[in-house]
Amino acid sequence: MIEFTLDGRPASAQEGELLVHAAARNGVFVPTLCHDDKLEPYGGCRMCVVGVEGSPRPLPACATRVIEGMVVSTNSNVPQLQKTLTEMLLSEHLNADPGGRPNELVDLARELGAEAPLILPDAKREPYSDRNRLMGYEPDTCILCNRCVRYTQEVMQCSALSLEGRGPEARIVPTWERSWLDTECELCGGCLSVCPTGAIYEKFLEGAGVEERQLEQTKTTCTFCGVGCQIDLNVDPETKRIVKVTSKPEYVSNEGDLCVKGRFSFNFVHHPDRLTEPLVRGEDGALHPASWEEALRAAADGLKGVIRRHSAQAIGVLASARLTNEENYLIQKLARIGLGTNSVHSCEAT
Amino acid sequence: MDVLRLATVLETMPRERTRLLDNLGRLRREVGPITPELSDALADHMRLRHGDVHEVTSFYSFLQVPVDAVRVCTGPVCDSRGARDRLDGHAIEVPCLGHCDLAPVVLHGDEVVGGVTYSTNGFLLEPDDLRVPPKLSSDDVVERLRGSGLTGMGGAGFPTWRKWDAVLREPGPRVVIVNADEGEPGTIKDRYVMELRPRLLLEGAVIAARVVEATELYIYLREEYATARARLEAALDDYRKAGLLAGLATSLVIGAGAYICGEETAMLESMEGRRGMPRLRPPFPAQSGYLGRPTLINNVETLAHVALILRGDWQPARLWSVSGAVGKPGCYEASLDVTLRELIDGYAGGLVGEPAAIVPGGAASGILPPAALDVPLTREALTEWGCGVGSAAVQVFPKEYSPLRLLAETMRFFAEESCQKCTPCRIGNRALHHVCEELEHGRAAMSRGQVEEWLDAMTLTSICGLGQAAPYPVRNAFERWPELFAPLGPAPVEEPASA
Ligand SMILES: Cc1cc2nc3c(=O)[nH]c(=O)nc-3n(C[C@H](O)[C@H](O)[C@H](O)COP(=O)(O)O)c2cc1C
Ligand code: SF4
Ligand code: SF4
Ligand code: SF4
Ligand code: SF4
Ligand code: FES
Repeated sequence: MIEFTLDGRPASAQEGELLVHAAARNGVFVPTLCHDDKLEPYGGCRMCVVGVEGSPRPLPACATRVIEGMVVSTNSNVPQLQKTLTEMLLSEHLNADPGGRPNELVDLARELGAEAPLILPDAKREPYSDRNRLMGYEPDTCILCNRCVRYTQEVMQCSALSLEGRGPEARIVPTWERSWLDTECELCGGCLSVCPTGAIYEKFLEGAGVEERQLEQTKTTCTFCGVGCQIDLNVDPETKRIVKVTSKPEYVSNEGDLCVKGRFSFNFVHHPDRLTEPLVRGEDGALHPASWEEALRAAADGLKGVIRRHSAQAIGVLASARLTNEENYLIQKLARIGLGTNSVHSCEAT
Repeated sequence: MDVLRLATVLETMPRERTRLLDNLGRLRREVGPITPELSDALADHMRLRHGDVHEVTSFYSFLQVPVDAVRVCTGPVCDSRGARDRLDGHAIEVPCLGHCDLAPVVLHGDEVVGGVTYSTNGFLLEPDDLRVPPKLSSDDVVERLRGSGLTGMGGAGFPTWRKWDAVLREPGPRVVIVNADEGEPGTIKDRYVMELRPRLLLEGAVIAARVVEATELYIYLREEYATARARLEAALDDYRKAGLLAGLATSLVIGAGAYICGEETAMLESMEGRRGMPRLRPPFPAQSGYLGRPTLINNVETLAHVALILRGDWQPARLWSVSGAVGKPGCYEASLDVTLRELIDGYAGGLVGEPAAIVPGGAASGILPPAALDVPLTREALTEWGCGVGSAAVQVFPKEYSPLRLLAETMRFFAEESCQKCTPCRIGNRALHHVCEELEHGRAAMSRGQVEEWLDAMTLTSICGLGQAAPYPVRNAFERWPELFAPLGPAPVEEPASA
């Protein structure tokens, strides 16, 4: 641990800790917009600047590491600078908050009492629309914090989003302004998950009529593959329907990252054709609801019948790619010892 | 697109990311302007993502423009001399082209329309002979630089010996970069050095490389300087033949139209094949620069002075670029404490007409009124006038050119050249440009108090010198020509908070 001074009081930090975290642990909240712990320090939005003794200019707390004896202040001129920077960001939008989506800039402006003193004449960036049905992008809400682009480069390594151009024309677009589907995007939605303003958003939510802030979260495990990503199902409290899936950086197996299936393939849950109980085909050729016990017995009887008539070598076992290692282990046990066949395979092996 | 030609050219292109800018520049020259298809083809060849190449391509002004395009300079000096009248449907508008002594300037492809003439004096006129640099120990050289008092001529004015010493203290391998990206409006001096004394520059660069025991030497040259490029290449050939570059991998890196790449950390990013956006400091380039190696970055003129100092015939002096409403615009060697009047009358052929505003050292150095004609152009004296000496680019604007127009054009320049990375510079400069334009119509887009708060935030929270210094000319104009800003209302009574 190292000692430093924060707003005149003694404080402590871990060796090499970012000032923004050390301040938070010592009870001082420093606002950030472009910072994301998943990404390399960037220091672009400047919202997190704090005074540091000996430095001619305030320093970004998101990119400055605490050193022994540092004297840090978040009062004096810092609140004014935060307010001015917020005003600046607001002046870049005709409507900073179009979709009613959670927007950290709008929250911050409310907290600091900041309003745009003018709207820049070139504020509105050309609208963007494309053919994908999952992710939308509203350029006018974007604050060019570059989090999404840095995520595509540093985490997902798809680089499917670009910070294009320089000066007033600079903007975020998928590669060469193509449809997301025509870039190297895999629709994992990761860029969307780091966007602080909702400029990139889930298209499902458009017109869903739910205030995103009121969604209820239920933590569960993605069932689509053996990685077992931890996810939060976001449920509309009124209709009890899942409206989106999110994840959190502190979830161990996936650190908040997901793939297209985990993030976007949840609609099956509400599909009318979804099976919700075991069915067994009866003498009449139709499927009938059954208990798990009955269903498993029917399956076992069927397998035994095959062994009797054709020997165990007539059976092959194909395991789903969704299974974990442990489940795959049990599957081969079932095949080799239970059924007596060595023909066992997982489709993940190909 | 000629696919066969593309395939042949691609085959010869290296795959290291550090060669991305170079590859893009070559593709543009040898195949055509960079289209999305060319960009993707290069990305596939270099095993980069399509988006990585898109981002970089779009950062520069010229990669998507044909090589034979007509480029009209609308920098402040050219603008004050009617450059915008030369814009027709085909020509593209570009910021200062570094030929302000010939304003208004138009480039057709690589050629300056109307040809290039020089108006100069001093060491620039001496024969550019190749001399073997003296064999001195690193300590000796650093000591002599220290004794000379030489400071950087690129704009920041940092003591040269101190930087060399700092790089030497870091473990190798080390790198030397010559900053030849000259882009500060009004500045023509580095072009004069490279076109007239390329061997003298290389002498300084080779000394720098030896002193800091560098294994690589780069010269980052702005794309618009085709003549300088040819002369540097010829001089490099001479050096190579004379065996003076043995053990030193030397290359020219050609920019692609982005003023900000003259900022040293933006230059490093650009050279590493990314968008030229400045890095956060610390670490400084001397500690961690090109590819993380200790890197010495010096301006062209600085290195020319180094060579002269070690040759033993140097008096403290610098090159002043003088342009605008003067009789003989050009690049003149004069003492460090010369006054505007001495420069203009003694070297630049006197004033033409009545001056209204004088910029002492480049866009961000501030704006002086004619009353300052007898102020010595030293850092100390100019600080009292709220100005800096910058890159010593003196630009004289006649009374027909309103200071408000000058300010509007200056802010437009900053807005368009801002790399976008940080909020205060990206938005502040755009807003100030807008405020000036509205004032030209007598309207107030913001109140004076708000403008002052925004200027403070720009100075204090911008990442690099562009955003930090951009408020200078605005504050100067407020003070010198308050009547122009009357619509904004009264200045705040309380001093705005400062660091
Ligand atoms: C926006 C900006 C643009 C710059 N452009 C140039 C330039 O064109 N040429 C240059 O030598 N230095 C330029 N500089 C200064 C460099 O960052 C750096 O300080 C300089 O190259 C160091 O060399 P010196 O110590 O020899 O002056 C620029 C700085 C800023 C902030
Ligand atoms: S959705 Fe995923 S794959 Fe697509 S651009 Fe965003 S981060 Fe990249
Ligand atoms: S889209 Fe979102 S994450 Fe990307 S730059 Fe804009 S505000 Fe930031
Ligand atoms: S399908 Fe995707 S989100 Fe689900 S567990 Fe596998 S990797 Fe994770
Ligand atoms: S001050 Fe301007 S040029 Fe410099 S990093 Fe910030 S946005 Fe880029
Ligand atoms: S959060 Fe620190 S600069 Fe953006």
